[in-house]
Parts: sequence; C-alpha cells; structure tokens
Amino acid sequence: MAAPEASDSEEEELAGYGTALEPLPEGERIKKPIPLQEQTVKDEKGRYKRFHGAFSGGFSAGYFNTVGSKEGWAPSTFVSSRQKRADKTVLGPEDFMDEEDLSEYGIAPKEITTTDDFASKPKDRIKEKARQIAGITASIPGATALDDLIAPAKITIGVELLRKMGWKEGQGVGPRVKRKPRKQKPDPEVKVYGCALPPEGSEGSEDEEDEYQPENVTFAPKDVMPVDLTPKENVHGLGYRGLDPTKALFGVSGGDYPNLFTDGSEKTSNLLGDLRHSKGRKLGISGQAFGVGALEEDDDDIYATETLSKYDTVLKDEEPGDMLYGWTAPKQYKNKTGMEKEVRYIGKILDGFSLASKSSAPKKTYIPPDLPRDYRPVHYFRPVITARNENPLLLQALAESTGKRETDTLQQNKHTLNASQRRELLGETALKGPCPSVLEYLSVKDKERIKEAKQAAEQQMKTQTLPQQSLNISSSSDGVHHKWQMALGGQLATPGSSDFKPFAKNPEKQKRYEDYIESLKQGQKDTSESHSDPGMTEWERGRERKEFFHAAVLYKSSNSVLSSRFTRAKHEDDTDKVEVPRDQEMDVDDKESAVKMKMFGKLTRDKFEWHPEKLLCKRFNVPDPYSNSSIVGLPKVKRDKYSVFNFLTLPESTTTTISQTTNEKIQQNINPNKPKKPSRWDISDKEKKKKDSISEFISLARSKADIQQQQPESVIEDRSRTNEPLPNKAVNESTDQEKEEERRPSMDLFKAIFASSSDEKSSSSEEDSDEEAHQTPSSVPNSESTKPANLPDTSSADVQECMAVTNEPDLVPPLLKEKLDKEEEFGPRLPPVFFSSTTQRHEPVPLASSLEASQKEKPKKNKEKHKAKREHKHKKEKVTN
Amino acid sequence: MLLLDMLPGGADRCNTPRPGAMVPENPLSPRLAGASRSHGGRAGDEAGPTKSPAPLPSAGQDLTQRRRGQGGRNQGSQNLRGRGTEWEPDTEAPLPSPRSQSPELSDLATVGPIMAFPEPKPKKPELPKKLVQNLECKQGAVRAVRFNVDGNYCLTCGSDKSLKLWNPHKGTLLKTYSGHGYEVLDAAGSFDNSQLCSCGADKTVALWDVASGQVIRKFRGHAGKVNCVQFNEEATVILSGSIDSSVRCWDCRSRRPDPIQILDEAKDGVSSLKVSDYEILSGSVDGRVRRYDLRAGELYSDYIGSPVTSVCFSKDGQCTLAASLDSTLRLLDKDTGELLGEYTGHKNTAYKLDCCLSEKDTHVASCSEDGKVYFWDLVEGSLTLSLTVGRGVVQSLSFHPSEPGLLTATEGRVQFWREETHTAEEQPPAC
Repeated sequence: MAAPEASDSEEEELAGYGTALEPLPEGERIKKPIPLQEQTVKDEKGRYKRFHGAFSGGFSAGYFNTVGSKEGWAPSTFVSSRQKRADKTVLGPEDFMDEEDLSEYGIAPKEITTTDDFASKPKDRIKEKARQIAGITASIPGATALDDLIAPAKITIGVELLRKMGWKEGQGVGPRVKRKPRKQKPDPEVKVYGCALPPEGSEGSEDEEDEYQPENVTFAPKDVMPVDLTPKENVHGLGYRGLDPTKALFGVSGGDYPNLFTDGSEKTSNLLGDLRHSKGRKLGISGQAFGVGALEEDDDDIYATETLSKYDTVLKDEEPGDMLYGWTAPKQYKNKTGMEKEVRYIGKILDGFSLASKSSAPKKTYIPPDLPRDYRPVHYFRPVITARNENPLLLQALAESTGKRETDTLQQNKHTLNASQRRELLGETALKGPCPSVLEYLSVKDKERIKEAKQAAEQQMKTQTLPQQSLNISSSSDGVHHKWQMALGGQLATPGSSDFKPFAKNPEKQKRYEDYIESLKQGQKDTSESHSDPGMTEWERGRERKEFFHAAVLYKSSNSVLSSRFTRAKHEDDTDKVEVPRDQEMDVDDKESAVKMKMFGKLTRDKFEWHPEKLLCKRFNVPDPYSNSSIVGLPKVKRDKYSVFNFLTLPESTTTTISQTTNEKIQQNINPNKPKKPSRWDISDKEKKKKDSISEFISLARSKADIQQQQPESVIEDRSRTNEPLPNKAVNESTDQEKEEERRPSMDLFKAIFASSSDEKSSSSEEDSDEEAHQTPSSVPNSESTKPANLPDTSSADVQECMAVTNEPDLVPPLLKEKLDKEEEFGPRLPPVFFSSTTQRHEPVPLASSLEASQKEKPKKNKEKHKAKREHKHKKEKVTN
Repeated sequence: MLLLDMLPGGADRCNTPRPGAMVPENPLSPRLAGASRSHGGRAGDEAGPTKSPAPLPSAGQDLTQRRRGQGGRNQGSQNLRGRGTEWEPDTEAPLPSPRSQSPELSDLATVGPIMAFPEPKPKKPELPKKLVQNLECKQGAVRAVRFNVDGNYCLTCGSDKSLKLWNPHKGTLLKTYSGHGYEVLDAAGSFDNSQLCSCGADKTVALWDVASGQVIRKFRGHAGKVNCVQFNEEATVILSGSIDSSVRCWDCRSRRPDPIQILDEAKDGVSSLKVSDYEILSGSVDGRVRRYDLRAGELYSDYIGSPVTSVCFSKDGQCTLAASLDSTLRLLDKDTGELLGEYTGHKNTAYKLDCCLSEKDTHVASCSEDGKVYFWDLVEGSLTLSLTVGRGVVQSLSFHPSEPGLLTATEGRVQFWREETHTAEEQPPAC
C-alpha cells in the first residue's frame, strides 16, 4: 500500500504497488462503510436475495424460505374430478431444480460444454490450420466454429513428448523396473493427464500373479502421485470442494468432465486418502456445498443409491493405498509381501522406534468341525406333547418315543406328591398358618405306613387294567363327577374362544373357573383342587367345583362360529329399566269402533307432546316450542325392564280376552288346515260370507268362556296343547314375517296369565288393529312340551282352504314372474311393472303372481277381517247384555 | 342461473306474507266457529245410520263453503305466488331463466284491486278432461309423477332407476337423472327449482342438481325402501318416509350424514308424506295419519283403520285428505280430526295410489286400480267425474298447483289432462 503522505525522499526509495486511492475531497465527511447487516444482494432481476447458510453463500429454497410453493403444498397441476383428469407428466430431475442450478455455474448447466471425449485428442495443428482456412473460405463462414469448440487443445507439450518416448497414460515416468506391476488404483477422479484408463481387470489376482513373475520382464515404474502444490486461490475453507456439476445428474460418470470448480483441490483431498468415491459410481450430487468443514466427515449423500458394489465382497487385505505422500520409496525391489508391508511403514516410523526384525507368531486358527453328511441346517422343533390331544394312544406313543414317558410320570407324580412337595417343586414359600393337611400331623412312621398302603392300592388298581389311570387318591372322591369329566373330554367350554363368563361378577372366581376349564381340557383331574382358593373350606371348595363343572357342561359352546359373532356389550345396563314412550297410542279397538261409526274426531285422535329437534325447528323457521328441554321426539319414561306390563300396554278385560282365546281355539280346532298363524292381511271374502257359521262358534265359545274364566290355568294348558304346528297348506303364506311372529307368544297368553280376572271392562278390546286381533297364538314359550293336536274337524275347514285356493291365480307369464320383486312387501304394493310398448295389457289383478295376489288380497282381507271381528263383538255384546 | 331463478321468488316471498305467519290466523277465527257448528250438526247426524256423507248438514256445507271461499281467496294469493315464480316455457333448457318481470308485475297490479272488491261469483270449476299430452316415458313403470312447484315441469320416477324431467305442456323430455340403484319411488322439486330430491327402493334419498344432473348428496340410513320424499318449504330439509316405519329429516345445509331427527312413531311403513311450512304429515300402513306440528310441538295421530296410502293437505291448510286401502278417501279436519267428507267409488285395495285435491280445493281426485281417475265434489262428496286413463292401474297423479291440469301415470306413460275449455293459447308461440 502506498502512502501518499510520505516524504519525497522516502517516495523515491519505496516501490509503490497498486493504484493509489483518490485523495479525499476536503470538507467532506468520510463515507462510512455500509455495515454488514445493511448490505444487500440482488439477483439478476434486481430482486433482493436472501442468504441461506453461512458458508454456501446463499442457496434460496422454496417459497419465502419454506419448502412449499406459492400455491402451498399442492402442486399446481393438481386436477381431480370426475370429468377432468390431470395429464400425466414425466418429471425429470430438472423439474425439481431451482433456476440457479440450471444457470451457467449451477450444478446442471444448460450451456454446451466440451467433454473429454472430444478433448482427449491432441490437436493436429496442420489440420487445424487447414480447417481455419477452410472455415474462412467456406460457403458458410463460421461453420467450423463448432469444431473449434469441440476440440480444444488440452494436451501440453510435455505429455506429447512423453508419449512419443513411449509413455502411456497410467504409467510412471522413468526407467523400466524389474518388479511386479503395481496395480494402479483405478481412481477415476484423479485424472492428472486427461483421459481415463479403462477399468482394469479383477483386483484380487494381484497376489497370485506375484509368484509366477518371470524374472526377465521389466515393467514401467509405478505412477507417482505428484505432491499437490496447487496454491489456494479461492476463498473457500480448507479442503472445501464445491458442487461437482459433472456428477449432479444421473447417468453421468464422474470425473470425465473438465472440472470447473475443483481444479486442484480435489487432488489434494485424494492424496489425503479420501478414497471414498473411488469404488462404485456414486450417483447424485457430491461436494461440500453446504458448509461441511475440511475436518468433518462428508455428509451422507442422500441421493445416492445403495449398491452392492460399495461393499467389499471378498475378504482381503487393505488395498495398498498410496501412503507415500508422493515420496519415492528408497527400496526399489520388493518381491515379497512382507517386504511390501515393511515399505508401508517407512513413511510413518516415528523416532525411537524401529521395525521388528521377525514377525510375530501367526495366530492359531481352529478348523471348524466336520459336518455329518446328512446334516441339514434347519432345526425342527419336536411337537409339543400335551395332554390336550384327544387320543391317549397317540399320546402314549409319543411319550414312549421320547423315551421319557413324561406325562405318565407327571401324572403319577402329581398324585403322589402332596401340596407341600409340590410347593417345594415350584419353589414357593411355605404357608405361615397351620398346615391344612392332616397328614402333616402324623408321625413319620404313620406316613410311611400310609404310603405303603397307598402304593399297594395303586398296584392293585393297575392290575385291574382300568382304562382310566387317573386315580385321584388325594383329591376328587366323587366318581360321578369324574366320569363326567372324562365324558366331556375336549368338548368343554373353552374360555378362550367363547367369551362366556358365567362368573363375571366375581373376577377371582371367574379366573378360577377359567383355570379349571383350561386344566380340564388338559386332562388333569384334580384341577379344581389346585386352583381353588386356599382360604376356602373344603365344603366350599367342593361346592365350587361342582358349580364349575355344571357351568362347564351347561355353557359348552356348541358352535364357536356362532359365539364368535357376538360380543359383550360395552356398557352393561346397570339398571333393570328400559325406556318406554310415556304416551302410547291407546285403545285401537275403541278407535276401530269409532271409525266404524264414522265418529272421527276426539275418539280417533291421539295427541302427544312431541319435541322436534332444535335444528329442525331452525330449518323450518319455527321457534322451538320446547326451547329449554333436551328431549327429542316423544318423551320417554323409565320403566321396569322386566315388567310384563311394559309389553302389555293395552288394558283389556278378561272376558273379552278369554272369549277371544276360546274363540280362536275353537277356530283352530275346526280348521286344521288353516295356517297356524295367519298374516294380518289374511282373511278371505268367503270368510266374511260365512260369518254366520263362525258366529255360531262364537256363541259356543262364549259358553265355554265362563268356565275358563274361573280356571285360567286350564286355558293355558289347553292352548298349549292345541297350538300345534299344523301342516301349512297355504304355501304362499309362509313368509318370514310369519316366522318372526311365531317366536313371540301371542298377547292372549300374557293376558290370560297376567290380567286379573276381577277387573273387567265393558269395552271390548283388541290389540293393534291389524296385527294382533287375528293372531292365533302359534307357540307358547315352551313349545317343546306341547303335544300334537289331533282335533281334525273338517266341517268348516273349507273356509280357509277356499281362501288358499282362490288366492292362487297362477296366470302369470313366467317372464313377468321373474321380474316380480321377491322381497317381502310391507304395506301397499306398487303396481306391477308394465311396459306400455308391450302388448300385454292385462288387468293387474289377474296378472299378479300367487305371491303378489296373496299380498294384494291382504289389505282387503284385513279390512273385512276387522269388520267381521267387530260384528262378532257386537253380537257378543248383545248376547251378554 | 340459480341466482336468477331465485330472484322473482324471493321478491315474491317478501311481498306475500309468509304463509306460516298469515294463513292460519286469517281463516282461523271463522273456521273455529264453523267447526263448533259443524260439530253440533254432526252430533244430530250421528243418530241416523251412517251412510254416505253426501247429505251433509247445512252447517257443514256452510263450513266448507266458507272454507272454500277462503281457500279461493287464499288461492288467489297463491296464484300470485305462482305467477311470480312462473317462467314461460319457451326454451328447451332444463330450466329456462325467467323473462323480464313486467308482465308478472302488471298481473299483480290487476289482481290486487280485484281482491278488494267482493269476489265475483266463482266460475264453475272445470275439471281436466281433455288429454293434451301423452308422454311415453320409456323408463319402465312410472312410479310417480310430480309437478314442480309452479306446474311448468314435471318429474317422472321410473322403475328403471331413472328420474326424468319433462315439460308436460309440450311433451318434451328435458333431462334424465340417473344414479339410483333401484327403482325410483318418489321425487320432489325445491321451491327455487334448483334442486330435486328423489328416493327409491335402494334405500337412499338423493339430492340432485337440476341443471347439471349430478347427485349432490345421497342420504343413506333408511333400513328399507323409501316410499316418499319431500322438501320443506325452503329446501333446507329433505323428509323421507320409508317402509322401515320411520320418517327421517335430512339436512341439506350441513354435511352431516345422519338425519336431524327420526320420526319413528309409526308402527308400520310410512307410505306418504307431506310437508307444510311448519307441519309434517305422514300416512302409515298402520292405519294412522300423523301430523307433527313443529310450532306447537305436538303430534296428532288420527286413526283411520285401514292402511293409509296417500295423504295430502288441502290448499288452505285446514284439512287433510287420506286415502286408505279400504277404497275410501277421507277428508279430515286438521285441527280436530273430525271427518269432513268421505269419498268412495274407486278401487284401491292393494296398491299405493295417490290422491290429491284440485287447484282450488273444489274437488278431490284419486287414482284407482281400474284404470280411472275419480273426481268427487269436495263438499257434496258426490262423484263428479271418472276419467278413464288406461287399462292398467293408475298409480300416480299430480294436480297442477294453480290451474286445472292433471298428470296421471299409468304403466309406462304419463298423460297430461287439461280442462275442456283449455286452448293452447297459453302456450308460447314457439311451440
């Protein structure tokens, strides 16, 4: 730096370097340098740029320092709807790059650059000159410019000279030597002289070749890595290498390109032993762009793919690296590997140390044992033999085959051992209290005597060849129980598979029960003993055992598939209450009569408090009528769950019920052909016409009713006898609905049982209009005990038969029949599907199939049935009054 | 388009007082007096044999005439509303945009003063007798035919899973909506004609966009086939009745998949459903007509006795009409449940058939299984007309909301009937 203020004399003496600063204008303040935090950087378009990363000098990513884009996380091409589908585009690596990466100095420059393929040739000057001339004289001037670009002069004159002297790339320079050719480390990154050698053959053959070396062959000397004396010209940190653009993209082999960034420093790092990238081609970007210091480990290349070639596949010595740091070894001839090893140390021997003259003794190695011929390197586990196997023979065979008779001994042991011995075996501590066994109080002699007696008894038993060897001398004394256990075998309840828990309320007991079951399955006989609560008395234990046993018998899961379909309720209903609508639509029969008399109005109307949902009110723009109640729908009350009167919501008089039941009974007796449970629609026109004959029976029934009123129980018995599954001749009536109803005992039964006979109402009553009135009870709860009814009275059987016959107008063309809905229909049907184009213009009624016809008939029948019923009642009332 | 459509309607809604607010009050006071009188008359009538309701006592007649008068006046306002939202069916677009409002406004102006004068002697109401259009729907059996809110279009529900939108005046098919998984059983249009709802045997209720023909939403939850579907007045709720004996209220506004409320009071399948501005009327196979009054928070259950196939409100909102499988139609007073009229003569014993009231509540119409449509005088209960439609069952019918026009569906076709004096002059010249 020159000093302008220096004196003249000094000025003459001193040499000035550089250009002098402008003298500061007087009276003007010295400009302050812009502080670091205020310095800004702009990109090529004048926008402010941010720096990311201290060392890399800015590498902007994403959108406002985020990984996202302006659109957020969704890519802008995201289109998804039924009509429009996004076009499939194949994205290359460039699509994920920033703009800067594609620029001239990015990792994937788009500019045309020369490659070594074209640069490797030495330039022929004559040709070049000729080309230049040709370029000038060519019709298109400048056409040869591309050639200039393609073939730059890269080879120095020294290399050219060496080549002329016989040097080849990859060899060292110097006189030929008599030694084995040192394998050149195929390091594609270290290309001092340009072209890469083709990768040499297998590396493992080096040592073998050593012995067969002919003596008269000389080799070119080893190529010496020159010491890298490249001055540090950049401002990077020590050892820093920028991104290598030649390796950035896939498919580009590394090192074959002229390095734009890493001219010399790379070599240095290689000399320092950075051999990492020498093996296998690394894909992706490598370099230290992100601030990895010289002494730090390089970042794992996250873009690299794992290839097997990165790993050693053979066991071998460390590859003879170049440890010489560029110095030539003093020993020229190394024939033995040992010598080579020595040479290796030469550069490294510290002061005060010397090489050992003799090598240490080789390590002793042991040869692995010879494998037998039939050895198979797979281990088979022996099947676990448990008593669970049903076949005792197989068990025994297995046990014998193992040569131990494990189970046998185990069982015997178990019976011979007492509790304390077992405890010792199990390693448990003794109970503190008095020993429960009486045997403990006996003297040793007595014990032995007992033991002898026991053994004698055992011998006796064995000689009797009883199939059951299980003699529980110590425990279970009840033989019946035992036999049952044997009989039950493996079909006992399995606590694991079925979730049946009979003692769920007492978890300990349940646990004991499960243990019991488990051990039962394993064939142990005295199981309950071992699992029982020590705090229990003998009597309690016995009782529990019996309980368990019965539970196991009772709750044997007959069908595990079925049981697996059910799961325990999550919320146990703790209360025996059930929610029942507070208000019920009452007294259908009253209404029925009112309808009959056309007295609509109060009689036919029920009015309930009904709470609409708040949202519904809002949607209807109506103020919530019960704004401060949380009830929705009809208000409900809790009632006793198991009260029958929940289900008997209709107050009915006994007289009517009983007369009704008898009536129905008689009807059943008369009509054996009648389906036992007519559907609610089910009554024919003819029945209506034959009303009179039926009314006769009613009067008959009424006379009976008085008797049965006094003996309601007999009624039930009667009913149970008469309610029989009669042959159902009206096939078309056999629907699911019917079956469903079959399961439910009729209302009359409940009435007969529970309604008090004293409370009588004048009004006749029925249940739900359509359903109940004509349901003859099909089955009582314990229908198994009922006997077949043999009361065929064919006098008026025609009533139902006729109905069944008339209901089957089978006029349907088969095609139409197929189209008919096979589902069960509820309520009014839809007319059959007709096509106006077809010529079939039948009336719908004859067109219907048998099924359909019957269903169509239903409402009519129903109505008439009601009428008939009503008239029955009226008549009845007349008579009684 | 939707916005445009809503404009006249919206303005109209502002002009006419909301029916929920005004209609009940206005006819209520005379109605109550009449009701009590009629009750007395009926009490005397009870002694006699209950035959046909034809010789109604004078009080009852008076009552119904009164009601009819009010209905007429009320009808006048409804007419207005209809006009307000009316569109000239002059283009073939699924829903043409409304024309300028000047004619409608002039209508308003002319009708307005008339209402001030005593009503002229009402013209003898005409019944639709003349077949003007025959639509071959080509969608299997037509399960239901429904006018849209202003009567310019109609929907047909086919058993081939499709729903079709027609212009019955011109007999043109406008759009087909397919998306149901089984036959479509009922459909309804929203007040602004922008949406449709339909239900079917596939247990679903679908909400459609009219213009695009796409399903906007599907409501699943019914356990059986869905018999009937209705929008509420503002098309914010869809109500659907199913054979699973429940009526479900689906919310169109929110995205929630379950219904707002389930009305499961019915003991059997719900066959028919109507919605007024604050009531839900449902007819069930258990023989009851249930009316849920949201405003009062009460449920009225009227026992009919026979499975109810169809229910509807009268235009004045004072009566309910219920058709049942005993081949009888009953007109019930809405408030008290009294029987105002009984109409028999047709045949309805098996199928779910529709019934309706005429545009001015003068007549009651019902389908029949003998291929006819029967009309009764509402007051007298006498059969005035039996219109032979076809040979098969007439399954569905729909009365024009403001004019004597009737749509009937039998087998695979739909027929449009107008009154005798009807000429095509109302039709746009483009036709």
